[in-house]
Amino acid sequence: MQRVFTFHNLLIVVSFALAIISFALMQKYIEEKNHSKIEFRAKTVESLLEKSFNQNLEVIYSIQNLFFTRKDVSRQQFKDFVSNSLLRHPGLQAIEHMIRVTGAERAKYESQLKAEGFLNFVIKELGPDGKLKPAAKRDHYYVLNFVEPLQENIAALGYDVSFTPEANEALMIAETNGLGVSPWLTLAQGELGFVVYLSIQKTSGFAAGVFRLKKFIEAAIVSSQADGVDFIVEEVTKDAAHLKALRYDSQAAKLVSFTEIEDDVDEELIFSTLLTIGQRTWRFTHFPSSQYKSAIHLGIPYVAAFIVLLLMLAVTFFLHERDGRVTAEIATKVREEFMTVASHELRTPLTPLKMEIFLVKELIQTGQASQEKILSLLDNANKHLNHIVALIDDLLDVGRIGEEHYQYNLSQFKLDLLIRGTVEKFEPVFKANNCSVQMTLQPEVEVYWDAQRIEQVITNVLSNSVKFSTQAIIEINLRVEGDSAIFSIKDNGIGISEEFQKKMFNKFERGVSSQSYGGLGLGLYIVHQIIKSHNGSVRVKSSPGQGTEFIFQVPRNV
Amino acid sequence: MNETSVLIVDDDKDIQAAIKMILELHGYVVNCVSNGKEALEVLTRGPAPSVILLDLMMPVMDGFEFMKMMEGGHINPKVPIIVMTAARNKAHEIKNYTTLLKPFDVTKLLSILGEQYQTTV
Repeated sequence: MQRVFTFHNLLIVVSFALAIISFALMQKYIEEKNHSKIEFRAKTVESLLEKSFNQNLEVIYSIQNLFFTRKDVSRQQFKDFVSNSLLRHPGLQAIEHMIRVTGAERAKYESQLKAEGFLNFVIKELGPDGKLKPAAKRDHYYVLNFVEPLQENIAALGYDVSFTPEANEALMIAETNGLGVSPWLTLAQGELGFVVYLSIQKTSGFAAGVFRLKKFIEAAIVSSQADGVDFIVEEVTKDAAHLKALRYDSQAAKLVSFTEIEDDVDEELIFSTLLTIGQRTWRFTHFPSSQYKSAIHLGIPYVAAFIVLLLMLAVTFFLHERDGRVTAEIATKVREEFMTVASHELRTPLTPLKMEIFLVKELIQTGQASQEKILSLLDNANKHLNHIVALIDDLLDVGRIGEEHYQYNLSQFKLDLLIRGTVEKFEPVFKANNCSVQMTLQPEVEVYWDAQRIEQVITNVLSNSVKFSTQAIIEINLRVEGDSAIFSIKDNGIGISEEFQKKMFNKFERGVSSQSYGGLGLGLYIVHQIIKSHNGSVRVKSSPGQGTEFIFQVPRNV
Repeated sequence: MNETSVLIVDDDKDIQAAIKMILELHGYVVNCVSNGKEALEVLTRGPAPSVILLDLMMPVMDGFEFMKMMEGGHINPKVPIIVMTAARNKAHEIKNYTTLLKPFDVTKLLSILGEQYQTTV
């Protein structure tokens, strides 16, 4: 029973451990789910932007083609060609055509434009105040020749694009690679944007698209679900002029100026991607905003832990109940077995007793009663009566000795003398069963015990020795060791199996079948209770067929 | 002379002695053995007793096993059996034989025997 309790306690500890583990596993699972959700969002944004950029680029390529195939495109033709495209691509603010004009050609070019109706036309550059002014003399200019929509951008007409180093660099890269992209810059309208240049072979000209950064990104990803995942976008090209980063507000589906990411964002859930636009690199940093909805409810780990705990505790409870039931069933079985044995044992000596009384009467009635016969019958009757009394005593002792407050009757006596006296009382039994006894007793062993009960211990063990041996050789030893008296009773009987040794001190347990050997199964239980009450211990050395030795160690003064 | 012989099979020497003494007083010829195995030996050696008084709980070979051997037809001739037992719960299992519950009245045993077997006394 003790062991079973420990097992159940262990189960409870395991239950809590499992609950904690399932909480942690669930937590980790949710984090991974969330992480992959944000990663998916990042990949979606990346691919949508790439796709959108390529679609916009197609418009600029078509201009490149136009000028590549036809030398004499008129302003009206250019307008007709691009105006529809502009409507379909809100990210594009303007589409432009640039031509190279040398210093020598400048005057001729300017008068040509004036003739077209642009009365104050000159080639321009940016002044220190940020305003356009006539360009200084240079070897060549990359002049904004055509621009659509024209009305909004008419002031830019004639602007020398190569004037700013960033734009000039993009032009040069376009000349070498076919495609050049400007860094982020503030457009003439005041908003943030960038320009994509395509060189037109053989003409020394360029086709260009002016992108509105916000519109371009917002339009590209408008169809995708953000689910509260925001991102920061910034240009991270080496040497890029560091303009401000923008934050995509997933609630408003708009890019706004970026201040800072909320403090409480889980670092594990921040996911960055890099997007390549021509020779430029933009970085997108995705993170869950305060509106973010977790992929899985955050309460799930608690629920999981609770369910696991509940299940485990239910299992523990069930096992505990079942073990309890099994124990009770065994106890019931032992008790029933006892009732059978007890009634058999009590009736067994009654049978000859009854017959002996009958015989005495019969002999007297028939006049065959010799004194010798009658005395012998009465002796036997007395013996059987004593046997019954002894059995009843045993049964009553079981009830009393098991009680915690059973009163022992302690007195000072010599244990060696008690042992000798008990053995003497056994002499007739020994003789009847051909037993021999050898005693090695240290003399004058004073103890302060319950003499009557200790005699019962010796009697019970000796009875067993006689009962379970044929022609027993019994050895009894007594010595004093420290404060304790050690006495032992050894026989050469049938021995006790290891299995039965574990339970032989229990009430009603019997090591052998009641068919073969009588007895109530109480003798050793009583022995154990008495020795325990004297603060002593009893050990047994035995194996089947090898005899049995009981060794008692009891403090001399209880 | 029609002598009825009784075989007592019981491991309790005192019971053996008491029953033997009573039955002899009433003119029966009585033999005693201590278990089923010894009883089988008596039967095979012969002469067969007229009736067997059989205890149930005995070492070596108990009463049930002995009855099984008899019913199995291994032993000839068939000898009537009277079962005597102190185990009330075991007694229910005995269907085919007269059963005496220990401690029984000796007069009851004598009347059963007297009804079935004429004695010389």
